[in-house]
Parts: sequence; structure tokens; C-alpha cells
Amino acid sequence: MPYFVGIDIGSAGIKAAAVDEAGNLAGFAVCPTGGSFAKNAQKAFEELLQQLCMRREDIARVVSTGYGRKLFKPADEFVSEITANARGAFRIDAGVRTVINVGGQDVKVIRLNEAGNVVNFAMNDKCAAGTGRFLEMAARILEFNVDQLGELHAEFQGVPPTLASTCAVFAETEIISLLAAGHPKPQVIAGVHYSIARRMAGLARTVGVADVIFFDGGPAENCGLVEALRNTLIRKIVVPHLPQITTAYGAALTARASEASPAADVRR
Amino acid sequence: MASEEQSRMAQSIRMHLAMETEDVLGRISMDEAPQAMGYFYRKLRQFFQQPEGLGHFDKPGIGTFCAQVPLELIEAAGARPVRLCMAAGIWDQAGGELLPAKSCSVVKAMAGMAASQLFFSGVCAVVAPTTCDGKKKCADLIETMGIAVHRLEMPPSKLSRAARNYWRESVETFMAQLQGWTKQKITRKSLHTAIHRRLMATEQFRRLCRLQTKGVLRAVDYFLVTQTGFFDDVEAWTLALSDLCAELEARVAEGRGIEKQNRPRMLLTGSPVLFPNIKVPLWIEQAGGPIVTDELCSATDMFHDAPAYDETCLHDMVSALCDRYLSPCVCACLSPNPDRIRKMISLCRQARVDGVVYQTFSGCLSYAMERNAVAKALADEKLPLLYIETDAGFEDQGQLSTRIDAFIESVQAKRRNF
Repeated sequence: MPYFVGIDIGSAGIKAAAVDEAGNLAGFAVCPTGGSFAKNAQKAFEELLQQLCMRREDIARVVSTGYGRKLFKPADEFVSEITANARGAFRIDAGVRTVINVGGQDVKVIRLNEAGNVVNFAMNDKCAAGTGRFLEMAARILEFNVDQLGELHAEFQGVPPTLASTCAVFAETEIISLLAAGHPKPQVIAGVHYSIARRMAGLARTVGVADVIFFDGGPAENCGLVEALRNTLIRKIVVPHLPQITTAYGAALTARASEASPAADVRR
Repeated sequence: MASEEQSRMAQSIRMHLAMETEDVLGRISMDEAPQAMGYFYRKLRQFFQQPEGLGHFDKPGIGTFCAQVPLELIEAAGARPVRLCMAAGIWDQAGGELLPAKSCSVVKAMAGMAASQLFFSGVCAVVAPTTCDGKKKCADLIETMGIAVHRLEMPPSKLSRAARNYWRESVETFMAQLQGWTKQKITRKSLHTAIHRRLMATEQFRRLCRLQTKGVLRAVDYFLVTQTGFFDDVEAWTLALSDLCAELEARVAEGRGIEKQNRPRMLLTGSPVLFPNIKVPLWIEQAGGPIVTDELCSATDMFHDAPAYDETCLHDMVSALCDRYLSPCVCACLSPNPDRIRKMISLCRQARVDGVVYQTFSGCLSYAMERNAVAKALADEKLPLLYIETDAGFEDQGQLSTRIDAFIESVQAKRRNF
């Protein structure tokens, strides 16, 4: 049975996902991006092949996406992460009309139509304020791991402090001054989550928000951020089972689709 | 001591400018480039790397600050126009020390260019139309550097009779100033010759636009042609352009071209594309969307229109020139500016456009403010719009090319569904 692979080469992590002919997820692998995109992408790809007990030749088609999409030579074609993300999300839940994705260095809001096509999107400009990078910075100052932030947020009850800036550089001094003023760490973390949620909500409003939000990307695993976003947008937030790999999954689905009709290719 | 520091700065800027030019030209693939494009690549390299070697420096250079200056008058007075709108990152950086960081890159780049003295050796004076605030204040700044500046006063609107009269008077004042600078009179004959030369250029440019609509010319090449027109001798430019058109027409006849079926056709509008900052057209093209037309003061808006007059007497020709520069102007500095939307919609229909990319430079508020009106008009036409805010550098490549790729993909998907 042929498999199709999508590789999402992001700024923080590389995600590889494989689907079978029916478009169901067959396996996935994740590794950090580090300094060399191509090498680590190859590593993630090989890890995935190992998992599936397969060789490169057994894979019908590979589509790359993400920042490093054009660098991964073994790929048959590439697609932007916005299209890939939309495709993955729509396959998981055909009712999705708004996707919010937080990545390592960007935030995206995507609007879909009933056919699952992207009709509008918004993305932060070159500044990486309020992204995964920002959460990492906050975790580092507070001396926690990024994946602990969610539980710590849950410990806090009450009104979180307001962080005026989501800029990684300015927020660092702001967080330090909050700690210096005696705010407990869980409270500061809640403040960080709410400040990111505010920024995401502002971006989301520029393209319009549906009643249900599909929230993915690595930081969607952080339940504190999910809660902050829910309370800020006042809408239902759905987080998929594996939020980090939705985009890679979408790229794999693209590989499967273009194998079926090669004329549909945009490039190459 | 100041002059020593200045010459050091000029030397350093010159080096970085040469690097930037090479970097940008190096990003353009030469595989599909028409042979006749060689002329334009060469001229741009020369202009940005060794401006002295350009020739035709026998005539005094008059720098122009934007597309609103009637170039025919400069040529009729025996001078050569050089449009100084260029958005090199290194000039932007140099200008950042002179103007607020929030001002737009073009304005900062022009200030930086003036401060580094480069090109001003051949330019004896500058004409600054009083269009946007940035350009106006930049003119004030460079005047303090000892550069002769004439302000070509521009009405804030073009609809009223008063505005047209004001513009006419303003152009006449400019003519007097020009003749004072060059010590040459603008005569019926010299103006007629100058207009005729520009008409020939316009004719070739329109021929190029028709080819552009067919998608046989890459957007980057198209913009390099118009950029060369900023400083090149108009007759030499027209000749090279006609060679290019002939080569492209031959390609069309052979059935060769870069247009492939089902590629989403794009219109580019907003703040102008100014060499070396050609990244947006470059990435649109790389994403698979040919730019088939544009509404930009650095391309179509600068070269497409021609003056119309019946009698070749000086008065009629000057009147026709005044109209030629004021009537088609759709710069966002005008209020109201309904013509811009009208023009854009008509270009979209003519060139069968599938999507519009709207770029503004950070700090170019007038274009940023017109965004919503344009978006609404395009939505009524069911045309998708991608809005980009950027500046002279390449640092936003990752984000921008992702957004452009996704936009082209979504337009493509929409086309497939209908």
C-alpha cells in the first residue's frame, strides 16, 4: 500500500507525517530544527520511515512545507504552511472555518470556506512577538520547561497582571519587573498567556472569527494558553489530538491529492 | 574634517550598494531571460556601481523626487532627468540617521543617497513635487545639505478648476527655474522634440505592456526595464525596449513563453517597486503567479500616458503636458482619489486579473489608509487581495514569501473550483 509523506520544516521543530491511500494518519516523527534545516529534516524523515518499516522508494510522494520547505531536496513539491495547515485541519474536522496556529516564530489565522479552501488569512509581520519563541523566553526567565507552563497557569486563580508588550525583548524586562514586584510565578505565567491571547485575538479579528476555533501548533498543547484564548475570544476552542503535526499531516494529504491529479500542481 | 568623514561614508556606502545590487541581480534566474534584457541588467549594474561610466553626462542632471515632474520640460531645457526614487537598503540605513525611523524607506533612502553624495555629483539640482509629507520634508532636509531644490507645487486634488490652474502656474514657474539652471530656453522646437522622444518611448512601453498581459515577460524583468528608464537616455532606452519587444514577440510567435495554463494572474499596486527593492515581484513570480499588470508610479503610471495637443505651439504643448501629468495621477496623496480604484478595476478587467497584491512601505501612511477602500472595491469585483507591509530589506523573506505562496495557492484553488 503506498504511503504519502508531508514534512513541515518549522523554525522550532521539524514534523514528518505519513498518510495511507485513504488519507488516514499512518505515523509521525518530530525533531527539533536546530541550526541545519536540511540535515534534521532528513533525520525526521528517516525516523518516520523506520517507524513505518519502509524505504524512500516505498513512499509515493513527499511534500515539504514550513519555513525550510524549499531546502528539503527529497521532496517532490512544496506547499506553503498556510495551505497545508488548512488542509490538515479541514480533514480532521470538516466543520472548521477558522484555524489559529501558533508556531515557533509566527501566528497565523486562516479562514476556510465550506470546500476547505483558504479564503483569507492573516499572519504576523517580521516581528516574532507573541509566538512560541516568546513562550520559550518566558519559561526560561521563570525557570521552567515550556511544557510545564500549562499546569502552572492552572494553579493560579484570580486576575492575571497585564503585560503591555508581547515583544520578546521588551517583555523580558516586564516579566522581570513583575517578579521583582513580588508577583508569584503562576500569576506571571497567566499574564503571559493572556497577553499572547490578546494579540492572537486582534489578528483573528482582521480576518473574521467563526463560532468554533480550531487551535493548533505546538503551543496549543499548553492548556493555559488555550484557556486564555477561550476567555479572550469568548468562543469554543477545539484543539486536535496532535496539534503539532496538523500542518505536516496537511502536506501529506497534499502529496496524496497531487498524486491523484498531477495537473493540480502549482509549482514544478 | 567633515569632508573626510563624508568621503569615508560615501566610499563605504558605495561598496555596500554594489554588494546589494549584485545580491538582487543574482537572485534573478538567467535561464529564461531574453537576450535583449542584457542591456537593462548592464545599465543598472553600471548605474549602481559606477555611475560615472554611464555616458551622456555631458548634459547637466536634474534629479526628480517623484513621477509628477514633467520630464519633457527638463529635456527641452537641455538637461537630463534622473529620478531619485530608489530604495537601496544601505541608503535607507544611512537616511535613518537623518529622518525618523518610522518614515518610509524610500524617503529615508533618498535622504541617505543625498548625504552620501553619490549620484549628486552629476545632478546639479533637484525638483521636488509637493506630494506626500515624507517627500516634502526630505526635500527640506536635502536643501540644508547645500543641494539646489525647486518645489514643484502640486494641488492636493485634481478635480477642481482651481487645482488645474494652480498646477499650470506651478509648472510655468518650474519652467522658468529650469531655464535659469541650464541657461537654455525651452523653445517650441526643443519641446516638440522632447515630447516626440517621450511619445516614442510610451509607444514601446505600451507594446511591452501588451506582451506583459500575455505573461511572456517575467515581472522582475519588467520592473528592471522601467527602473532603467529612471536615469537612462530616453532614446537609447526606447531603442533597447523595442529590441526587447521584438524578441518577445518572436517568442510569442514560436509559442514560447513563461505563461503556463492555470497560473493565477496578478496585479501589483500600492507603494512603488523601486530598485534594488524588487523582492515582492520576485517572490510573487517565484510563487507561480505572473504579474500581468500594475498600478504603480514606478511602472505603468509613469510611462503609459501621452500628452494630447492639436497645435505644436508652446502654449498648447505646455497645457497638454500639464494635463498629462495631473489627470492620470492616482497617487494616494490626492484627496479625493476615486480614479485609483476606477483605474485598478479597469486594469483588472482588461488583463483578466485573478488577484491583487497591495504593498505599502512601513511609514507610507497614505497608501496604507487607502487599503480598506481598495479592498472593498475589489471584494465587490470578487477579487482577492493580499496586503503586505514591508520596507527595503530582505529580512522578512520567510514570512513574506510564505504569505505570498499561500495567497497564490488560495487563488489557484479558487480558480479550480469555479
